[in-house]
Amino acid sequence: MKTNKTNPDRLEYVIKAKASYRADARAKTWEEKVESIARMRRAAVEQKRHVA
Amino acid sequence: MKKALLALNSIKKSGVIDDYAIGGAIAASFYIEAINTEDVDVFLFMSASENSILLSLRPIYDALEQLGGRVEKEYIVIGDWPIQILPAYSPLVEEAIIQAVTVQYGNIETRIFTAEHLCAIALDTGRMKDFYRVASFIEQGKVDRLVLNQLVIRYKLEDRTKNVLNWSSDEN
Repeated sequence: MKTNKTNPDRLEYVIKAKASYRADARAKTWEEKVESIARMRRAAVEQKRHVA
Repeated sequence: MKKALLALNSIKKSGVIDDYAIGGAIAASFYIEAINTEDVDVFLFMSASENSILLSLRPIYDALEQLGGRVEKEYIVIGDWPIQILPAYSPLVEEAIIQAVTVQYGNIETRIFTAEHLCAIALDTGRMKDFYRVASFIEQGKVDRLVLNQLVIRYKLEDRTKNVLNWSSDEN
């Protein structure tokens, strides 16, 4: 259901935060990116263990 | 990852493999944002052994096990990373291995597919996540469109480009 409750200030903040996050992610070195993937993998394994 | 690359460089130096190149999400992450993945895809040329027409990964796995690797399902795990050894399965992948570029991972030298070959292989593989990956390369300006277009034509991938949302943007 559509609402008109979107707070424009909040939306602008979220868009800026996402853009900033993506800029940071792109600025990383390959080594840093691979380490970040390794962290994602470890988190996924931990999550699976937690669910099991 | 360093342990894995050192092990691969070691078996290359000792002649167990001729050369290798990293593809998939790990190679893509060299050019664009980090992409989650379970493993490292390592592509290489293989020839059948003298006694068999089948390709065998056994000598490679044996050599990597001697360097501390352990076999788990279709992977050989070195350090924290599952490595999937993939023989060149198509002319496109063969070309990608030959034209792979040498890069540094920290102080370790390795080879990865070019951005254009990664995109062409992603188009050929043809899953939704592959099309999304090609779109990311385009959106982030990390691919030479002329070179990619030539690959698309040469390997008859034109139909696949329809699945890439921003394929027509900035096409040269």
